[in-house]
Amino acid sequence: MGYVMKKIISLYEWLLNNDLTKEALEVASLHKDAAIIDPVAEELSEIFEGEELKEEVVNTIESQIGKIKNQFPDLEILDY
Amino acid sequence: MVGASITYQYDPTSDIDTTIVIPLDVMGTEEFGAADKWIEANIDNKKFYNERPYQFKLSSEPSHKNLSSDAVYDVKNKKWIRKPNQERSEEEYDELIADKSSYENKIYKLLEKTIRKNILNLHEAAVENLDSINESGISNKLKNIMYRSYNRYKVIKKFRGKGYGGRWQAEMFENEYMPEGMAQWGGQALDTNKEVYQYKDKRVPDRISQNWATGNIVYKFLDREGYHKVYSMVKEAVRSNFKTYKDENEKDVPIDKSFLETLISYLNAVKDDEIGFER
Repeated sequence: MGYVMKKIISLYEWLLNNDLTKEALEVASLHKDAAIIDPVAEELSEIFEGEELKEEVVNTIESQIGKIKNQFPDLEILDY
Repeated sequence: MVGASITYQYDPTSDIDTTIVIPLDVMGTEEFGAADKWIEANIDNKKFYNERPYQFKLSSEPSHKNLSSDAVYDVKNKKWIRKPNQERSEEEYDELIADKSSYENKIYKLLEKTIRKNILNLHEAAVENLDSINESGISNKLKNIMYRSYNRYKVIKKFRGKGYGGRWQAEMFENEYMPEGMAQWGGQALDTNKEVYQYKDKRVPDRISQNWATGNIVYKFLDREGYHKVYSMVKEAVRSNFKTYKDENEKDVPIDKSFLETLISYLNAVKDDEIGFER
């Protein structure tokens, strides 16, 4: 077994033994649902370019809505 | 779009939440439910922008109308319907969350005190049961405490929703979970007569949105400090009549020693927690 592979395995075992991966995941999942109790950022998130939603994000949303419409052809979506 | 990722309070994993507004009179409630479930199984969390999953919800009501969202972005027309207000978010964060003497922090402190006894009882019974669970199952003592805990959890869940309408204090009072002294902090005294059910949180209309209602803030404090993990396990156990619970892969597995070990680890994380919300 190569040196790098041994290092990776020992790091993985260390993480498992210290249960850090699980803990990190738990912290991340807790953090996700608690926005209003977190400090306020200076700027909007990276899905925006200035104050406009990035084109890539718009396209993904539209393509996913397209899939939903294909599955439910009767679905009528209201405009604001 | 709604949700944290379009406000100034987000983290790298905040969802990209899109609400699809549909007329309910065209799509019946049954079809609506089926479509919602299909979306959850086939569309949600299948695409990501960095660590942010795309999620979709059907709704018959535009969320900007009922003030349930801090911000609303119209994806189709690429414009804000409700712009997030950074300055007001900072003000409300400082006043309601960061200020330890805020109404929300005081309520949370009292609530945490009332929960503490239940947590300690659960911990004691779970530890006692650890060696015997494989032979004789969950002890009656632990079952009884879990039932009581489950009822408490239902009230906690309720006051998140009721917080929006300002009625959660009344619900707690009705269920005898209102600690002594809590009633005075609403700016008006509560009593046991019918007026208590008319009680409204008059502060909410002045806040950015209903997300900032007392009940929701307190719920998020509980979540962050780890209490929901305990009560979620208890809920699953009680609902399955102490037969199964969901493991880390969301699969139903029989309740055994590993259930108690996980429950105890969650209880250990909260049983000695300092009273009051600490980041």
